[in-house]
Order: sequence, then C-alpha cells, then structure tokens
Amino acid sequence: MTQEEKRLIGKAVAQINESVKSNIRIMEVCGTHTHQIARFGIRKLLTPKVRLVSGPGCPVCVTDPGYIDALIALLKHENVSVATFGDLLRVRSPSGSLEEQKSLGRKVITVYSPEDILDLAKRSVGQNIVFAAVGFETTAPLYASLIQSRQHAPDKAFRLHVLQLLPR
Amino acid sequence: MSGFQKLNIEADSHAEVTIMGVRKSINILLVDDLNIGDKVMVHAGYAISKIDDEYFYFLKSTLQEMTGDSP
Repeated sequence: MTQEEKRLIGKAVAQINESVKSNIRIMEVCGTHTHQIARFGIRKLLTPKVRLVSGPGCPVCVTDPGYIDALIALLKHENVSVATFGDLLRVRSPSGSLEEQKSLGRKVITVYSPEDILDLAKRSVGQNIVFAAVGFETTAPLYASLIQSRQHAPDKAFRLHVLQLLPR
Repeated sequence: MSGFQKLNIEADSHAEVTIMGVRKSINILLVDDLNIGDKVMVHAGYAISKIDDEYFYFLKSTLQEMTGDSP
C-alpha cells in the first residue's frame, strides 16, 4: 500500500468514525467488498459503533473457478461460442478469464439479457451458443421463461450452462 | 427501475421502457396485469416486479443523488 493510499484511507475512516453517532450495521453485498475490507484492515480501524456484516455474495463473486475453467475448455472447440453477462468476463480461474480468452480471439460474447442469445443463435448458423447462466433466484425465472418459449421450437444451437445458486 | 410504455403487443410478451432516459425493449411475461404508464423493476432484460410511484421516485432520487444529477 502506498503512503497516499494510507492517507486517503485514514482520512475516510476518521470522517466515518466522527459522523457515526449511534450503532449501525452495514452489509457487504459482494464478496469483493469483504475481501477489500479485510485486505486493508478497515474493520479494525472503524469505531465499534459500525458493525460490518458479510452479505450473501453476488452471482459473480461466488462463481467457482472450476466453472470458468469449464467455459474456457468449451471455447477450445471451433464451433462453440460462450455468451454471458459482462461482469462475469473478469472472474479469474486457474485457466485465466473469459476476458483474456476474448482477447486471444476466442468467441466470447457479452449479452444484456438472456433473450439476446435467441437472436445470436439465429445469426450463428453452425455455431453452438453456450450461455453461462449464472445467478440467484432473480435470474432463475428468466432462464425458465427462455426455455419455455423455445419448447415448441427446439433449437439445437442454443444451450444453457447453468450455475444457479438458490437458497435451500 | 423504469418508466413503462407498451410498445410491442405481439403476443403481449414485450414492451418498451425508459431506463434513466434510455429506451429499451424488455420481456414482460413474468409480471401480470401491466398497463401503459406502470413502473417496473427490470433485471437482465425482464420486468420482474411492478413498483408503486412512491418507491419509483424514491429510487429515482437516490440514483440522482449517487450520480450527482439534479432532479
């Protein structure tokens, strides 16, 4: 950590500690928040009035590196494209990241909505589109709707590689 | 979060919404009884919930506060 980073953190922590008048709890929504707070030792610097609570994590930060490895292995096939949300591109695994694979010329496609892969499949004759269907309970109905909409029009060019993490 | 305008009534599956000034076609199959002018929560291209005006304007002012835009 640089001296400038130390100074900035010290200043921000002092402002937080000064402004907090009663006990509050703050949830770290994403695992990257938890990681950074631990890395910079912020928990110990804060007043005891601030209690940091680790949240459930987000679909991206809890993605198992093995899942990224599997997607990268699929990309080695000439006729396979992997489509997914932009925030999954930088998740690292021992094999690297999807972003790196894209820079190497592999077919990695960023989509905004799961529905985008239907147009993609129509435009990519001869390609198998694998959609990295990550997510929690908010995305599960989207994938179900997508599958239901295709049940009367089977499309062999479209696959879901599902990583769903649902509460038990 | 978005304002809501029905655009494509074909099979009632899609509608056009405005999300912070950007017009976008979204899937509306997951939410029942939507009408023109309703506000919805949008997630990955799908409407996932209808929201009332009070919550809509609370979210809008919160986002404006974060981005520094004047209301």
